[in-house]
Amino acid sequence: MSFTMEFPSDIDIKQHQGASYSRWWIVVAAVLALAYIFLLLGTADPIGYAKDEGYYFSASRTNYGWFVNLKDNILAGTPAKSFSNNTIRRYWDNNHEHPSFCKIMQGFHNSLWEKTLGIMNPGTSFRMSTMLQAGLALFIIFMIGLHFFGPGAALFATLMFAFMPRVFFHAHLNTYDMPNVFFWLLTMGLFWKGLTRPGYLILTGIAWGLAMSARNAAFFIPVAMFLVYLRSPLMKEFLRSFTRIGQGIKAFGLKRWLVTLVWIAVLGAAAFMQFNPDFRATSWGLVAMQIVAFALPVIFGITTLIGDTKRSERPIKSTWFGWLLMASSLCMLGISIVYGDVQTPFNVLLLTAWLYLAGYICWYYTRHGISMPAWARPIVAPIVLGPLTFFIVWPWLYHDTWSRLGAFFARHLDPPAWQTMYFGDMITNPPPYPSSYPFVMWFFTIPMLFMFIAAIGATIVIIRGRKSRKDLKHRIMSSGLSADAKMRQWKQSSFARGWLLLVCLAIPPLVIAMPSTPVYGGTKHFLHALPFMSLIASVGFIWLGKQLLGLLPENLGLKAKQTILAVFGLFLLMPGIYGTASGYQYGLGFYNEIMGGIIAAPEVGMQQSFWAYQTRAILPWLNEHVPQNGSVAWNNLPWDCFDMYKREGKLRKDIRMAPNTDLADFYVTTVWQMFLDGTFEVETSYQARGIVAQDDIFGLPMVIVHQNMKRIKTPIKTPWE
Amino acid sequence: MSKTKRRTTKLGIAALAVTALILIYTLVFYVRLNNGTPTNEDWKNAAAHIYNHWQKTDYAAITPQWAYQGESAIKNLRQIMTQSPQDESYPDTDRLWVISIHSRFDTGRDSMLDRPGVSLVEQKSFGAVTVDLLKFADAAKVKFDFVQHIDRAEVFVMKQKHKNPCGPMRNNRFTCEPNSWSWVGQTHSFIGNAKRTVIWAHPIADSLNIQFYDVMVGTKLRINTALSLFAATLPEGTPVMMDVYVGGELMKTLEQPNSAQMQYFEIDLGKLSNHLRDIRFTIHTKNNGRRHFMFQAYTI
Repeated sequence: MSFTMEFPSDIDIKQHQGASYSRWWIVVAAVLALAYIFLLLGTADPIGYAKDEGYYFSASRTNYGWFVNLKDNILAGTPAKSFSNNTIRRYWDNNHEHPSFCKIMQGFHNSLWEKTLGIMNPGTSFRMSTMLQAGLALFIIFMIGLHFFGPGAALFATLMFAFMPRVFFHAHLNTYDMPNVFFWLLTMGLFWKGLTRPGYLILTGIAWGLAMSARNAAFFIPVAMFLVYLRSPLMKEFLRSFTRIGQGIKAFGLKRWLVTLVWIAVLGAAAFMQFNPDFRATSWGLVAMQIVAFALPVIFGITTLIGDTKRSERPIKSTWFGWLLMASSLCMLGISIVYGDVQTPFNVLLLTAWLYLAGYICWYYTRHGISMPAWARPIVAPIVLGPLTFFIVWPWLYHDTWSRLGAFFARHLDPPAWQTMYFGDMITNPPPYPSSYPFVMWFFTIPMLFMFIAAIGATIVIIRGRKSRKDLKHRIMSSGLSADAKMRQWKQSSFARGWLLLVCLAIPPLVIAMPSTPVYGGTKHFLHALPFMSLIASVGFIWLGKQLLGLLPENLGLKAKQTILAVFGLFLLMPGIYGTASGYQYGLGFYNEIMGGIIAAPEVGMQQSFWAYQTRAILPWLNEHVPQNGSVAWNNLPWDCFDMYKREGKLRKDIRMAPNTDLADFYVTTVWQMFLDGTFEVETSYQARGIVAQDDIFGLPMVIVHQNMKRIKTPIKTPWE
Repeated sequence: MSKTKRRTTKLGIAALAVTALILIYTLVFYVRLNNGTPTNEDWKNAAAHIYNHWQKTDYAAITPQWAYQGESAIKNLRQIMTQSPQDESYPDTDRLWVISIHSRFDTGRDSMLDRPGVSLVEQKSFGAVTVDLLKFADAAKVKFDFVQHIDRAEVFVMKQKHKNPCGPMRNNRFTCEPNSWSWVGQTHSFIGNAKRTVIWAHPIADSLNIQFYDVMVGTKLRINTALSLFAATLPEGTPVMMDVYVGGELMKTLEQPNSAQMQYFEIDLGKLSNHLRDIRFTIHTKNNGRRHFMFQAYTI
């Protein structure tokens, strides 16, 4: 018995490339994105405010307030006031353990939709930022799918991602997880385009900077970029460039080497002074010395490497960008010097160093009419622009840069680990954490059919990729084509596309699988792998579709085949759609059929849910039963969420948050196993026999209420009595 | 689309078949999940039925362990919430009501009915709530439940061969040391992945002893031990040991590792069975830091 396997070939894929799809499919992608945003808006109300959303409501208000302050100060002719350390502290100190971009966007959306247009309630207006990015994520998935595998696959991948139950839940929240998904997609998508169109690398750098400003997971994007780069023809070019270093060094000349050595010595001295508090000062002489010391060796180093670069077939287009960068840096530098209280010289140094670097590169290329070598572009652009963007969009770093950056990295290198239930044990600090966690969680939280299709897709991608790689070796690697031409051909291969998708699928869970990485947060910390899983699954879908059509009469018309494929795709999506629809308001508790659904998870000691968002469902009951000016104690609800419920009228204004459980008429528990001992103590103390109210999914209570029999005059009857 | 003219491979047919199977399984799974979801009326009717037929020596078990609605529906009756009704102790009980949803008692029912002395009196469904009534003959009855009768115990610490009593019991606790956690008594806790009524017995520097006098033992002694979730997260936490003495004879030393997973032990009493015996649990550990140790014990 022999099996033959047929997969989409390179020729199939080439059919799906480029201009023939351009405009109308962009419209389709946009419609999908918009529809998703409206769907998210329409389903937002039943989803309660998660604990972290409460913190970000507050932080995004103050962070965005800085821009309002800046606008006011510009109008008043005193823009420098917004850059003073006191003002920066006032607006950026809140929640400074997380970078800025998401909070700026959340604050902006709140300002736009609630305060300016008045068409959304406050909570939804904050959440609009995430919903928009979720829609954009769908847009990118569709476009990648379209160009890689065709429209059918693109549509399937987009919808599969959209209707993964946990994804759908996170797509609503005023948090950083869906923005992180969006920025991973955006950065990797731009990087992919930039491998053959250098202008996109500038956008890649900026996108990566914004990604880092959105979530710390983005610090691993360069790993993905590097792995893609590693298997591309550019890596060979890069390695070949080392053979030219000798010539470059020789051509560099003795005088310039001596100058470089002097600069390096000065750099050492400057670094010593910078990091030694006794020497750290605001002396302009020191600033100047550091600027020179920092910038020039970098420039000379790059000169050495690229000194003999030959004229490229694609002249660099980024000169305008370099000048723009230099101009903007100069503006900031000018503002700092003229208006600012330049307390930390390194801030100025940092900007100026970037400015020198960009300026020098632009000058050098303009003068010599040469292009940056193809192998250097994907490295230089993100390295230069990513950190710069990260710095610019986070004014918190404008003062005490190093100490604040140090505190930020220290926290993220040794993050807190919130308690997580994992097969009956509670995982928390200190490490090691179970390496199996991300894979086990995927196994139990992604609909079984989705995983099966993804497994088929991955198998095809790997097999086809291996075959394609052999072809590439013969056709491209050994040819005399230029690096750009090689890259264009490489990118069209199944190997390259599969490699990109597999790398982006593998890195997020592998980061979490490291024994030192905390595993709290369910699946949200590796959510950004799922778009790539969906894209891989779309290959499986196309293959299954072809197998299905192969069973049908050959004389079927094209329309009939398309209709059959569409219906087939819809069937395959049903587990996700139904899983989502059946309990999206409790999405963090979603477990699949293999687990036995959400109800089975707590029975085997898995996390039932977390983050306190479950409170939303019990608010109507509280509104009805809490006495006038009564008080409620909560096991895990932050003040900002409680306040938001009241502001939006979801909770009666007179209901108070009890300072402790003894003073409360009711105690609300959002069920998370680690809190239950506390709840049982309260139950005993309240002389309550069981719960008085609850909200459940498939019978599993997600939020429960106990009444304080010592305070309630007329005990409330339960619905079961 | 031109490619679709290719014939379907055997592997393709197999993959399509598996896809169809998974799809059907998923469909059936969700239909069952929906159908198995009880309404308030279902709980109410089941509770009413039990109240109407309740006898003094009855006991009720609600399963699965998270069905708080069931606990509340029969709140005035002797009851326990549990994942495995077949593994629990029901002291002074002639009949057991098991209230279950989502078919969670299907395997437990078979297991219980396989035991000598257990018979099914009735089984009724109230919507998605199933009520089983089981009858225990003498052979199946719990002879003594140590958790229920902790107030009858003598609790003391052995310090350099001197007996330092932790009693008498006040506020349902024997207090052994001034620390807020150094006590012995009955409590409710989420351990072993369920809400359980247990004896809290936090080890102290010296050995902690819980002695019961003149207990009518059966043929077996069953002991379930656990640490709290929080206790088990202490990386340097040491195992807690429990020496079990029956009639002054050391029967077994049980070990609770540094884990929240419940440990189940059974001691065959052999020649010591079916007599009045003194039973002592001696609890000790190398380092008693954050050892929130709890146990259940009963004899059948």
